Amino acid sequence: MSDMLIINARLVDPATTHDRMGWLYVRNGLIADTDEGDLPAAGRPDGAVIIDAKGAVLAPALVDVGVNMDPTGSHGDTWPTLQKAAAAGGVSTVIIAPSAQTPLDTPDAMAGLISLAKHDAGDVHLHGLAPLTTPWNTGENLAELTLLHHAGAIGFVSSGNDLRDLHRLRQAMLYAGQFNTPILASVREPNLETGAIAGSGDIAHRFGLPGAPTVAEHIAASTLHALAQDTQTPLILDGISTNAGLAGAGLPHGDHTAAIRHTTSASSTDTPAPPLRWATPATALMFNDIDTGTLDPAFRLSPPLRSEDDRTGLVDAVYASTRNAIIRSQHWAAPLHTKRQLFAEAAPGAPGLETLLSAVLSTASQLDIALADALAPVTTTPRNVYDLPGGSLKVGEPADLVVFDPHAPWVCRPDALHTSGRITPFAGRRLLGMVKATIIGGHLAWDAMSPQNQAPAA
Amino acid sequence: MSNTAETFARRSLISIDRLNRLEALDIIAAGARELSAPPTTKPLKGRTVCLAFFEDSTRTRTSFELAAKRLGGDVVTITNSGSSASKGESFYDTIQTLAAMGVDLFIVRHRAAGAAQAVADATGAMVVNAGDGMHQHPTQALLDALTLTQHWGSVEGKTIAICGDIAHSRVARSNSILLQMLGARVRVAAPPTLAPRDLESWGVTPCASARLAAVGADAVMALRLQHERMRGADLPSGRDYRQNFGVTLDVMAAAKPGALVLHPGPVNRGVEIDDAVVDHPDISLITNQVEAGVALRTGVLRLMAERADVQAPLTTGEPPEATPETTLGKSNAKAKAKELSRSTRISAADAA
Repeated sequence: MSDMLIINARLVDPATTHDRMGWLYVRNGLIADTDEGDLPAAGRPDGAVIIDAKGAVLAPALVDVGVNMDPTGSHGDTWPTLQKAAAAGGVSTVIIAPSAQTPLDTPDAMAGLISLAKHDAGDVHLHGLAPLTTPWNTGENLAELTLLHHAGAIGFVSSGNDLRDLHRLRQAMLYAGQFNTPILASVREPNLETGAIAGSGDIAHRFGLPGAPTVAEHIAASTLHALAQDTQTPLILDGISTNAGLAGAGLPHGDHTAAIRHTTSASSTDTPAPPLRWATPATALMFNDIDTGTLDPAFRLSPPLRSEDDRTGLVDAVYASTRNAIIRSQHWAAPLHTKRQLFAEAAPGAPGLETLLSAVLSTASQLDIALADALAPVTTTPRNVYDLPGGSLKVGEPADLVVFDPHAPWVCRPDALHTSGRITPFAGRRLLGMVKATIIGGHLAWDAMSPQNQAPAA
Repeated sequence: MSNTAETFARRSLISIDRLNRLEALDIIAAGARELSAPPTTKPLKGRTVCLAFFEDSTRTRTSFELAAKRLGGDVVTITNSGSSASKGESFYDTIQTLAAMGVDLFIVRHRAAGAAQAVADATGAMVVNAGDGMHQHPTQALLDALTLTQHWGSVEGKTIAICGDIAHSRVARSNSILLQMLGARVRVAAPPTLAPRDLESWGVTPCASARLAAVGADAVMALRLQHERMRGADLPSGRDYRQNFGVTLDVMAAAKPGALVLHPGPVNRGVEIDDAVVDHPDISLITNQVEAGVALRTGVLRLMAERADVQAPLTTGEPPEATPETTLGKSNAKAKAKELSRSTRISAADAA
């Protein structure tokens, strides 16, 4: 590992909201020094490689919460492909979520996942989340949360299924509360969204697609929010995609069709309730149900794509609460045979590590907000929520950085992606924001100028 | 109405919180006498003792049976299976039937709180609560205190940690009250799903793990985890519970050197307590508790038989010592119960 001095960089720090031209010196895997100006006053430090950012943005690298993988490779990315996809996307840290294929519900499985990253060569930081209940599809019992936490899980995940038994869910939240780690709780209400393959609305109606009513999200969000306050558990409401969902969570929202009067009542308990966090997929910010009308299985997603009103309400809400909102890619390298199906029969989900940054920049460009704030939902906010180091350009922080050109266009070509997933809603789209370099722990983990990484011309 | 009694002279032992400190110490002293120099008189001779165990138990029932027989009592036992309860007979009818057969002393265990008190109100017989729901198990707390007193002389000023399913435990409730009454400090450790919401009002100090509860403690008490709690909504598994709440050698290492270990039994080895702790020759008092149990129960039954009026309850008009707060205790409870029973039969006959 060699030290590096990055010059001619637009230093954007979501933690401090500073945005200025300057330089940054990486030494021994940490940010050793940084300031505005062309060069350090003392000149180039000995042994440091110079990297000329040529005016590109230098920011903390991204964190993607709740990424799906399959170490066997049969139903998702293996660790090598996942790492490459992450580094190409400017993501230094992936937090793996449990899934039907990789339930991560036993301490040995969790320990195995975590040691995987240590032994397979690579730079990307890997963390794991454990499910709250087990088995994955029925959730009859609490998972062994104490042992899973002991094995290294940094948080827990509650699938929509847990909403089927609120007593058990409440008990699980109480038990998980011992560890003071967040629960990523899905707002997919299992009864109302049964059989839904699209968002309920005009498009679904026209094509005869069973739709998920937006009130389902409202009910799930408000139920989870109430339970979180009652049990004093840190919660992240995951998969909010509608104004109804935002309303259920007590967040700023646009009009929603369900005529529900939502009043946020202040908690009367003496101890302050843990802050409400929420997460939304990048696809919910980028696409709407008109894309569903193509019946292209690339748009078969969960949560399903919603109306344009919901999409704009969501975009407004994310940037009204940057310090509480997380944007995640929901990355899953769905095998071709699960996606190359008719829309109704395709598996919901898509890869997203390599398009996350562009989705965030595209979303933020619709509003008049500073780049430093725009990046918060994928940098500082998830790190604060999970108590991970980094997320700023301060001296002493780990050198987990991304260099990107926010104005450079590129076209998403599925064959050029590094993930093993090939079906993506971003296919063929011209996107803004090209990753030039990703530095993880002071290593150059991704270099766009390197011959094998040359991106296709826009 | 303050309790200024200086010795235990009641017809019933229902709950620790009805006793005062002197009564409790009197009972413990009676138990200690049975251990060291047991009196040879048999004050229950000619009296009928009914072990009314509507909830399963082998050790408690046997312990009471031995105690009653040592005191010369004629012991009859009814258990849930094979009793008319399984034929649909109501609890009150069962008890009234037994009382009518001339039972002088009931020892009652039931899954519902208040059962022992209901027996006392309905029959006027002497009653000992052997465990009512999750409410109280007074003789367990008293025998635990006797066990510790045999070792220490007194529990005053000692710190005792109770680890386990506190929310569902009558042993925890009785012990918390009694130990504090006798001047000890009590800490409890339970997973949040097994801790009562109102724990602060018990006067105990809640701790986040067995180890934290044990720091500097003089004794650690492990409570049995019921099997039905070990999976499902309350706990993921026995081993997950054990990670933070099991009483292990590591936990005992945090306690005072020579700290003692108790468990009411039966023990789930490797779950709430490890083999090495159960079988520890120097600190485990688990078998001492069993011995103390028979002694304590003999002692308290002796006190009740010798001091209380043991006139056959059927000849008295008013049930003595009816507690004013129970509806049944407000008037002639027995006669009322008979009246209700009869009127039910009449209306059933009308409907036929």
